Amino acid sequence: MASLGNDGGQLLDTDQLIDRLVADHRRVNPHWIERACLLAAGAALAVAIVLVAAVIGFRDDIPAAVMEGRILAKYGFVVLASLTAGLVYCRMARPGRRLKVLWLAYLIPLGLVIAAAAITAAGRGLGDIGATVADPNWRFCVTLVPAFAVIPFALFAAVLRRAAPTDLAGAGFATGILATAVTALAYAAHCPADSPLFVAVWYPLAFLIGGFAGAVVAPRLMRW
Amino acid sequence: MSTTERELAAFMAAAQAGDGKAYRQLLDRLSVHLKGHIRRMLARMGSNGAAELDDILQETLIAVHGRLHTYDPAYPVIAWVNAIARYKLVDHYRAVGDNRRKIPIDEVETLMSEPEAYQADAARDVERLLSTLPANLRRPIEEVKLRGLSIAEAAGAAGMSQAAVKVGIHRGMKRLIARFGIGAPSMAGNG
Repeated sequence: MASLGNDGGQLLDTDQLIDRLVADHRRVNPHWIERACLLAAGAALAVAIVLVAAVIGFRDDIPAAVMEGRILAKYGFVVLASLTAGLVYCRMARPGRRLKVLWLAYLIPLGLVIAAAAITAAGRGLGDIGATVADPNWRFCVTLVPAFAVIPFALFAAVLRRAAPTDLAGAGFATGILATAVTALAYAAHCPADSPLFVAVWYPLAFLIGGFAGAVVAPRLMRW
Repeated sequence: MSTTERELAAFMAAAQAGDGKAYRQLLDRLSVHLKGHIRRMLARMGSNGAAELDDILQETLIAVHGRLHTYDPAYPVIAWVNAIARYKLVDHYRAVGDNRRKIPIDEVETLMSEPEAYQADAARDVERLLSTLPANLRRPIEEVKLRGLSIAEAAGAAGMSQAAVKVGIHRGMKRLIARFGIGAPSMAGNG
Protein backbone atom coordinates (compact mmCIF):
# COMPACT_ATOMS: atom_id res chain seq x y z
CA MET A 1 0.00 0.00 0.00
CA ALA A 2 2.83 2.39 0.86
CA SER A 3 4.20 2.03 -2.65
CA LEU A 4 1.11 3.75 -4.00
CA GLY A 5 2.22 7.06 -2.57
CA ASN A 6 5.58 7.33 -4.27
CA ASP A 7 7.23 6.43 -7.48
CA GLY A 8 10.76 5.25 -6.82
CA GLY A 9 11.14 7.92 -4.19
CA GLN A 10 9.63 10.58 -6.39
CA LEU A 11 6.49 12.04 -4.91
CA LEU A 12 3.33 12.09 -6.93
CA ASP A 13 0.97 14.98 -7.01
CA THR A 14 -2.48 14.34 -5.64
CA ASP A 15 -4.12 13.84 -9.04
CA GLN A 16 -1.55 11.23 -10.01
CA LEU A 17 -2.05 9.56 -6.66
CA ILE A 18 -5.79 9.39 -7.24
CA ASP A 19 -5.17 7.88 -10.69
CA ARG A 20 -3.14 5.13 -9.07
CA LEU A 21 -5.64 4.50 -6.33
CA VAL A 22 -8.45 4.24 -8.88
CA ALA A 23 -6.36 1.82 -10.96
CA ASP A 24 -5.79 -0.29 -7.84
CA HIS A 25 -9.45 -0.16 -6.77
CA ARG A 26 -11.32 -3.33 -5.99
CA ARG A 27 -14.70 -4.22 -4.57
CA VAL A 28 -14.73 -4.31 -0.75
CA ASN A 29 -17.07 -5.86 1.78
CA PRO A 30 -18.48 -3.25 4.19
CA HIS A 31 -19.12 -6.06 6.70
CA TRP A 32 -15.58 -7.34 6.54
CA ILE A 33 -14.92 -6.35 10.15
CA GLU A 34 -17.85 -8.32 11.55
CA ARG A 35 -17.02 -11.35 9.45
CA ALA A 36 -13.34 -11.28 10.36
CA CYS A 37 -14.27 -10.84 14.02
CA LEU A 38 -16.48 -13.94 13.89
CA LEU A 39 -13.76 -15.98 12.22
CA ALA A 40 -11.19 -14.78 14.76
CA ALA A 41 -13.60 -15.56 17.60
CA GLY A 42 -14.05 -19.12 16.33
CA ALA A 43 -10.30 -19.61 16.08
CA ALA A 44 -9.74 -17.96 19.48
CA LEU A 45 -12.28 -20.22 21.14
CA ALA A 46 -10.68 -23.29 19.59
CA VAL A 47 -7.26 -22.20 20.85
CA ALA A 48 -8.64 -21.59 24.34
CA ILE A 49 -10.38 -24.97 24.46
CA VAL A 50 -7.18 -26.75 23.41
CA LEU A 51 -5.15 -24.83 26.02
CA VAL A 52 -7.60 -25.54 28.84
CA ALA A 53 -7.86 -29.21 27.87
CA ALA A 54 -4.09 -29.63 27.56
CA VAL A 55 -2.91 -27.59 30.54
CA ILE A 56 -5.54 -27.76 33.28
CA GLY A 57 -8.27 -30.09 31.98
CA PHE A 58 -12.03 -29.74 32.06
CA ARG A 59 -13.95 -30.44 35.24
CA ASP A 60 -14.99 -34.08 35.46
CA ASP A 61 -18.61 -33.51 36.51
CA ILE A 62 -19.56 -31.78 33.26
CA PRO A 63 -22.42 -33.91 31.97
CA ALA A 64 -24.18 -33.94 35.36
CA ALA A 65 -23.45 -30.36 36.43
CA VAL A 66 -24.34 -28.58 33.22
CA MET A 67 -28.01 -28.07 33.96
CA GLU A 68 -27.44 -26.68 37.43
CA GLY A 69 -28.87 -23.17 37.71
CA ARG A 70 -25.75 -21.41 38.91
CA ILE A 71 -23.61 -23.00 36.20
CA LEU A 72 -26.10 -21.81 33.61
CA ALA A 73 -25.93 -18.37 35.22
CA LYS A 74 -22.13 -18.44 35.08
CA TYR A 75 -22.26 -19.37 31.40
CA GLY A 76 -24.95 -16.82 30.78
CA PHE A 77 -22.63 -14.13 32.12
CA VAL A 78 -19.57 -15.24 30.16
CA VAL A 79 -21.56 -15.58 26.92
CA LEU A 80 -23.17 -12.15 27.39
CA ALA A 81 -19.79 -10.63 28.26
CA SER A 82 -18.29 -12.13 25.08
CA LEU A 83 -21.12 -10.84 22.89
CA THR A 84 -20.96 -7.37 24.42
CA ALA A 85 -17.18 -7.32 24.09
CA GLY A 86 -17.52 -8.42 20.47
CA LEU A 87 -19.93 -5.59 19.67
CA VAL A 88 -17.71 -2.97 21.31
CA TYR A 89 -14.68 -4.41 19.52
CA CYS A 90 -16.37 -4.26 16.10
CA ARG A 91 -17.36 -0.64 16.69
CA MET A 92 -13.89 0.32 17.87
CA ALA A 93 -12.47 -1.13 14.65
CA ARG A 94 -13.93 1.76 12.63
CA PRO A 95 -12.54 5.30 12.43
CA GLY A 96 -13.82 7.90 14.86
CA ARG A 97 -15.19 5.58 17.53
CA ARG A 98 -14.01 6.17 21.06
CA LEU A 99 -14.06 3.92 24.11
CA LYS A 100 -15.02 6.99 26.15
CA VAL A 101 -18.64 6.33 25.17
CA LEU A 102 -18.73 2.65 24.24
CA TRP A 103 -17.36 1.30 27.53
CA LEU A 104 -20.82 1.81 29.04
CA ALA A 105 -21.94 -1.32 27.17
CA TYR A 106 -19.73 -3.39 29.47
CA LEU A 107 -21.99 -2.36 32.34
CA ILE A 108 -24.79 -4.60 31.02
CA PRO A 109 -23.16 -7.99 31.73
CA LEU A 110 -21.35 -6.56 34.74
CA GLY A 111 -24.59 -5.20 36.25
CA LEU A 112 -26.37 -8.51 35.71
CA VAL A 113 -23.66 -10.61 37.35
CA ILE A 114 -23.48 -8.18 40.27
CA ALA A 115 -27.25 -8.42 40.64
CA ALA A 116 -27.00 -12.22 40.64
CA ALA A 117 -24.27 -12.00 43.26
CA ALA A 118 -26.39 -9.70 45.40
CA ILE A 119 -29.32 -12.14 45.23
CA THR A 120 -26.98 -14.96 46.21
CA ALA A 121 -25.55 -12.94 49.09
CA ALA A 122 -28.96 -12.03 50.50
CA GLY A 123 -29.54 -13.68 53.85
CA ARG A 124 -26.03 -15.12 54.08
CA GLY A 125 -23.51 -14.17 56.74
CA LEU A 126 -20.46 -12.06 55.91
CA GLY A 127 -18.08 -14.90 56.75
CA ASP A 128 -19.90 -17.23 54.39
CA ILE A 129 -19.86 -14.62 51.60
CA GLY A 130 -16.17 -13.94 52.18
CA ALA A 131 -15.31 -17.62 52.01
CA THR A 132 -17.25 -18.05 48.75
CA VAL A 133 -15.59 -15.05 47.11
CA ALA A 134 -12.14 -16.03 48.37
CA ASP A 135 -12.36 -19.56 46.98
CA PRO A 136 -8.69 -20.48 46.31
CA ASN A 137 -9.57 -20.95 42.62
CA TRP A 138 -9.41 -17.18 42.17
CA ARG A 139 -5.67 -17.31 41.60
CA PHE A 140 -6.12 -19.51 38.56
CA CYS A 141 -8.93 -17.42 37.23
CA VAL A 142 -7.06 -14.10 37.26
CA THR A 143 -3.77 -15.52 35.99
CA LEU A 144 -4.70 -18.33 33.60
CA VAL A 145 -7.52 -16.54 31.78
CA PRO A 146 -5.27 -13.60 30.75
CA ALA A 147 -2.38 -16.00 30.05
CA PHE A 148 -4.47 -18.29 27.82
CA ALA A 149 -5.89 -15.18 26.13
CA VAL A 150 -2.57 -14.16 24.57
CA ILE A 151 -3.09 -16.06 21.30
CA PRO A 152 -6.77 -15.05 21.05
CA PHE A 153 -5.63 -11.46 21.62
CA ALA A 154 -3.13 -11.77 18.78
CA LEU A 155 -5.87 -13.06 16.47
CA PHE A 156 -8.23 -10.20 17.26
CA ALA A 157 -5.39 -7.67 17.08
CA ALA A 158 -4.48 -8.98 13.62
CA VAL A 159 -8.03 -8.20 12.46
CA LEU A 160 -7.80 -4.66 13.86
CA ARG A 161 -4.56 -4.04 12.02
CA ARG A 162 -6.52 -4.46 8.80
CA ALA A 163 -9.38 -2.31 10.08
CA ALA A 164 -9.08 1.38 11.03
CA PRO A 165 -9.26 2.04 14.77
CA THR A 166 -8.39 5.65 15.57
CA ASP A 167 -8.47 5.29 19.35
CA LEU A 168 -5.69 2.73 19.58
CA ALA A 169 -5.53 2.41 23.36
CA GLY A 170 -9.31 2.12 23.52
CA ALA A 171 -9.33 -0.45 20.72
CA GLY A 172 -6.61 -2.38 22.54
CA PHE A 173 -8.69 -2.34 25.71
CA ALA A 174 -11.73 -3.66 23.81
CA THR A 175 -9.54 -6.33 22.20
CA GLY A 176 -8.17 -7.42 25.60
CA ILE A 177 -11.65 -7.64 27.08
CA LEU A 178 -12.88 -9.67 24.09
CA ALA A 179 -9.88 -12.03 24.12
CA THR A 180 -10.23 -12.76 27.86
CA ALA A 181 -14.02 -13.11 27.65
CA VAL A 182 -13.78 -15.64 24.79
CA THR A 183 -11.03 -17.48 26.66
CA ALA A 184 -13.26 -17.57 29.74
CA LEU A 185 -15.83 -19.50 27.67
CA ALA A 186 -13.37 -22.37 27.71
CA TYR A 187 -11.95 -21.71 31.17
CA ALA A 188 -15.41 -21.69 32.79
CA ALA A 189 -15.69 -25.39 31.92
CA HIS A 190 -12.57 -26.03 33.99
CA CYS A 191 -13.25 -23.86 37.02
CA PRO A 192 -15.33 -25.61 39.71
CA ALA A 193 -16.22 -22.33 41.46
CA ASP A 194 -19.70 -21.52 40.17
CA SER A 195 -21.18 -19.14 42.75
CA PRO A 196 -22.24 -15.78 41.29
CA LEU A 197 -20.36 -14.24 44.22
CA PHE A 198 -17.13 -15.73 42.90
CA VAL A 199 -17.92 -15.07 39.24
CA ALA A 200 -18.92 -11.43 39.82
CA VAL A 201 -15.56 -10.58 41.40
CA TRP A 202 -12.89 -12.63 39.64
CA TYR A 203 -14.11 -12.96 36.06
CA PRO A 204 -14.48 -9.20 35.56
CA LEU A 205 -11.08 -8.75 37.18
CA ALA A 206 -9.53 -11.22 34.73
CA PHE A 207 -11.18 -9.33 31.85
CA LEU A 208 -9.89 -6.00 33.17
CA ILE A 209 -6.34 -7.35 33.36
CA GLY A 210 -6.71 -8.36 29.71
CA GLY A 211 -8.20 -4.97 28.84
CA PHE A 212 -5.45 -2.93 30.43
CA ALA A 213 -2.71 -5.12 29.00
CA GLY A 214 -4.34 -4.65 25.58
CA ALA A 215 -4.52 -0.87 26.02
CA VAL A 216 -0.79 -0.80 26.79
CA VAL A 217 0.41 -2.85 23.82
CA ALA A 218 -2.14 -1.77 21.19
CA PRO A 219 -0.63 1.61 20.20
CA ARG A 220 2.50 -0.20 19.00
CA LEU A 221 0.75 -3.28 17.70
CA MET A 222 -2.20 -1.85 15.82
CA ARG A 223 -0.81 1.27 14.15
CA TRP A 224 -1.83 1.66 10.55
CA MET B 1 -28.51 14.99 5.32
CA SER B 2 -26.95 17.60 3.05
CA THR B 3 -26.68 17.26 -0.71
CA THR B 4 -22.93 16.76 -0.45
CA GLU B 5 -23.29 13.99 2.10
CA ARG B 6 -25.97 12.27 0.05
CA GLU B 7 -23.77 12.34 -3.03
CA LEU B 8 -20.76 11.10 -1.13
CA ALA B 9 -22.78 8.26 0.39
CA ALA B 10 -23.99 7.24 -3.09
CA PHE B 11 -20.47 7.32 -4.55
CA MET B 12 -19.20 5.42 -1.53
CA ALA B 13 -21.80 2.68 -1.82
CA ALA B 14 -21.02 2.26 -5.53
CA ALA B 15 -17.26 2.37 -4.87
CA GLN B 16 -17.53 -0.29 -2.17
CA ALA B 17 -19.41 -2.43 -4.69
CA GLY B 18 -16.48 -2.06 -7.12
CA ASP B 19 -17.53 0.83 -9.39
CA GLY B 20 -14.32 2.54 -10.48
CA LYS B 21 -15.98 5.67 -11.88
CA ALA B 22 -17.84 6.28 -8.63
CA TYR B 23 -14.59 5.65 -6.77
CA ARG B 24 -12.83 8.38 -8.75
CA GLN B 25 -15.68 10.80 -8.06
CA LEU B 26 -15.49 9.89 -4.40
CA LEU B 27 -11.73 10.43 -4.19
CA ASP B 28 -11.92 13.70 -6.13
CA ARG B 29 -14.56 15.09 -3.81
CA LEU B 30 -12.96 13.78 -0.67
CA SER B 31 -9.66 15.26 -1.73
CA VAL B 32 -11.23 18.71 -2.15
CA HIS B 33 -12.95 18.42 1.22
CA LEU B 34 -9.84 17.06 2.92
CA LYS B 35 -7.61 19.80 1.62
CA GLY B 36 -9.75 22.39 3.41
CA HIS B 37 -10.27 20.27 6.48
CA ILE B 38 -6.60 19.44 6.96
CA ARG B 39 -5.57 23.00 6.24
CA ARG B 40 -7.87 24.23 8.98
CA MET B 41 -6.59 21.62 11.43
CA LEU B 42 -3.02 22.64 10.62
CA ALA B 43 -3.88 26.33 10.97
CA ARG B 44 -5.30 25.61 14.41
CA MET B 45 -1.99 24.08 15.34
CA GLY B 46 -0.13 27.13 14.11
CA SER B 47 1.23 25.48 10.99
CA ASN B 48 0.75 26.67 7.43
CA GLY B 49 3.23 24.44 5.61
CA ALA B 50 1.93 23.46 2.21
CA ALA B 51 4.27 20.45 2.20
CA GLU B 52 2.71 19.14 5.39
CA LEU B 53 -0.73 19.67 3.95
CA ASP B 54 0.14 17.64 0.86
CA ASP B 55 1.80 14.89 2.89
CA ILE B 56 -1.12 14.47 5.23
CA LEU B 57 -3.65 14.75 2.40
CA GLN B 58 -1.91 11.97 0.48
CA GLU B 59 -1.46 9.80 3.55
CA THR B 60 -5.15 10.22 4.25
CA LEU B 61 -6.14 9.34 0.67
CA ILE B 62 -3.96 6.23 0.78
CA ALA B 63 -5.56 5.28 4.09
CA VAL B 64 -9.03 5.83 2.60
CA HIS B 65 -8.02 3.51 -0.23
CA GLY B 66 -6.67 0.79 2.03
CA ARG B 67 -9.50 1.03 4.57
CA LEU B 68 -12.48 1.46 2.28
CA HIS B 69 -14.07 -1.60 3.88
CA THR B 70 -14.18 0.16 7.26
CA TYR B 71 -16.79 2.68 6.12
CA ASP B 72 -20.14 1.79 7.67
CA PRO B 73 -23.06 2.91 5.43
CA ALA B 74 -25.06 3.83 8.55
CA TYR B 75 -22.73 6.76 9.30
CA PRO B 76 -21.79 9.96 7.43
CA VAL B 77 -18.91 9.69 4.95
CA ILE B 78 -17.53 13.05 6.11
CA ALA B 79 -17.29 11.92 9.74
CA TRP B 80 -15.52 8.76 8.62
CA VAL B 81 -12.97 10.54 6.45
CA ASN B 82 -12.40 13.31 9.01
CA ALA B 83 -11.59 10.70 11.65
CA ILE B 84 -9.05 9.14 9.28
CA ALA B 85 -7.54 12.55 8.48
CA ARG B 86 -7.24 13.39 12.14
CA TYR B 87 -5.58 10.05 12.84
CA LYS B 88 -3.14 10.55 9.97
CA LEU B 89 -2.35 14.08 11.14
CA VAL B 90 -1.51 12.86 14.63
CA ASP B 91 0.43 9.96 13.13
CA HIS B 92 2.33 12.34 10.85
CA TYR B 93 3.63 14.37 13.77
CA ARG B 94 4.41 11.21 15.73
CA ALA B 95 6.42 9.89 12.79
CA VAL B 96 8.23 13.19 12.37
CA GLY B 97 9.06 12.94 16.07
CA ASP B 98 7.86 16.43 16.75
CA ASN B 99 6.79 16.09 20.34
CA ARG B 100 7.11 19.76 21.10
CA ARG B 101 4.15 20.62 18.99
CA LYS B 102 0.91 20.42 20.83
CA ILE B 103 -1.88 18.77 18.91
CA PRO B 104 -5.05 20.05 20.51
CA ILE B 105 -7.12 17.73 18.38
CA ASP B 106 -10.10 17.36 20.66
CA GLU B 107 -10.40 21.07 20.87
CA VAL B 108 -9.96 21.36 17.14
CA GLU B 109 -12.84 19.07 16.51
CA THR B 110 -15.27 20.95 18.74
CA LEU B 111 -14.13 24.29 17.43
CA MET B 112 -14.32 23.13 13.85
CA SER B 113 -17.66 21.48 13.88
CA GLU B 114 -19.69 24.66 13.81
CA PRO B 115 -17.95 26.66 11.10
CA GLU B 116 -17.88 23.52 9.02
CA ALA B 117 -21.58 23.08 9.40
CA TYR B 118 -22.06 26.70 8.35
CA GLN B 119 -19.84 26.13 5.41
CA ALA B 120 -21.82 23.11 4.29
CA ASP B 121 -25.00 25.15 4.70
CA ALA B 122 -23.52 28.01 2.71
CA ALA B 123 -22.43 25.65 -0.05
CA ARG B 124 -25.92 24.23 -0.17
CA ASP B 125 -27.47 27.68 -0.28
CA VAL B 126 -25.28 28.72 -3.19
CA GLU B 127 -26.11 25.50 -4.97
CA ARG B 128 -29.81 26.13 -4.47
CA LEU B 129 -29.63 29.75 -5.62
CA LEU B 130 -27.73 28.81 -8.74
CA SER B 131 -30.11 26.01 -9.57
CA THR B 132 -32.83 28.62 -10.11
CA LEU B 133 -30.91 30.05 -13.07
CA PRO B 134 -31.07 28.66 -16.59
CA ALA B 135 -27.95 26.73 -17.60
CA ASN B 136 -26.54 29.40 -19.91
CA LEU B 137 -26.43 31.86 -17.02
CA ARG B 138 -25.52 29.34 -14.32
CA ARG B 139 -22.46 27.81 -15.95
CA PRO B 140 -20.43 31.00 -16.37
CA ILE B 141 -21.04 31.92 -12.72
CA GLU B 142 -20.10 28.47 -11.48
CA GLU B 143 -16.93 28.35 -13.49
CA VAL B 144 -15.67 31.87 -12.95
CA LYS B 145 -16.99 32.77 -9.51
CA LEU B 146 -16.92 29.37 -7.80
CA ARG B 147 -14.25 27.35 -9.53
CA GLY B 148 -12.01 30.34 -10.13
CA LEU B 149 -11.44 29.91 -13.86
CA SER B 150 -10.53 32.97 -15.90
CA ILE B 151 -13.07 34.40 -18.34
CA ALA B 152 -11.01 32.99 -21.21
CA GLU B 153 -10.86 29.49 -19.69
CA ALA B 154 -14.57 29.45 -18.99
CA ALA B 155 -15.29 30.62 -22.50
CA GLY B 156 -13.08 27.88 -23.94
CA ALA B 157 -14.64 25.19 -21.77
CA ALA B 158 -18.19 26.22 -22.60
CA GLY B 159 -17.52 26.94 -26.26
CA MET B 160 -18.79 30.49 -25.82
CA SER B 161 -17.17 33.79 -26.67
CA GLN B 162 -15.55 35.71 -23.82
CA ALA B 163 -18.06 38.47 -24.24
CA ALA B 164 -20.92 35.98 -23.92
CA VAL B 165 -19.44 34.64 -20.67
CA LYS B 166 -19.10 38.15 -19.24
CA VAL B 167 -22.63 39.03 -20.23
CA GLY B 168 -23.89 35.74 -18.82
CA ILE B 169 -22.26 36.38 -15.45
CA HIS B 170 -23.60 39.90 -15.36
CA ARG B 171 -27.14 38.87 -16.23
CA GLY B 172 -27.08 35.90 -13.86
CA MET B 173 -25.89 38.03 -10.96
CA LYS B 174 -28.51 40.66 -11.70
CA ARG B 175 -31.22 38.06 -11.74
CA LEU B 176 -30.07 36.49 -8.46
CA ILE B 177 -29.92 39.89 -6.81
CA ALA B 178 -33.35 40.77 -8.09
CA ARG B 179 -34.81 37.46 -6.94
CA PHE B 180 -33.13 37.04 -3.57
CA GLY B 181 -32.00 40.53 -2.66
CA ILE B 182 -28.47 39.42 -2.04
CA GLY B 183 -25.99 42.09 -1.03
CA ALA B 184 -24.80 43.36 -4.38
CA PRO B 185 -21.22 44.41 -3.49
CA SER B 186 -20.01 41.01 -2.24
CA MET B 187 -21.59 39.02 -5.05
CA ALA B 188 -20.69 41.46 -7.80
CA GLY B 189 -17.13 41.95 -6.53
CA ASN B 190 -14.03 40.11 -7.66
CA GLY B 191 -13.97 41.38 -11.23
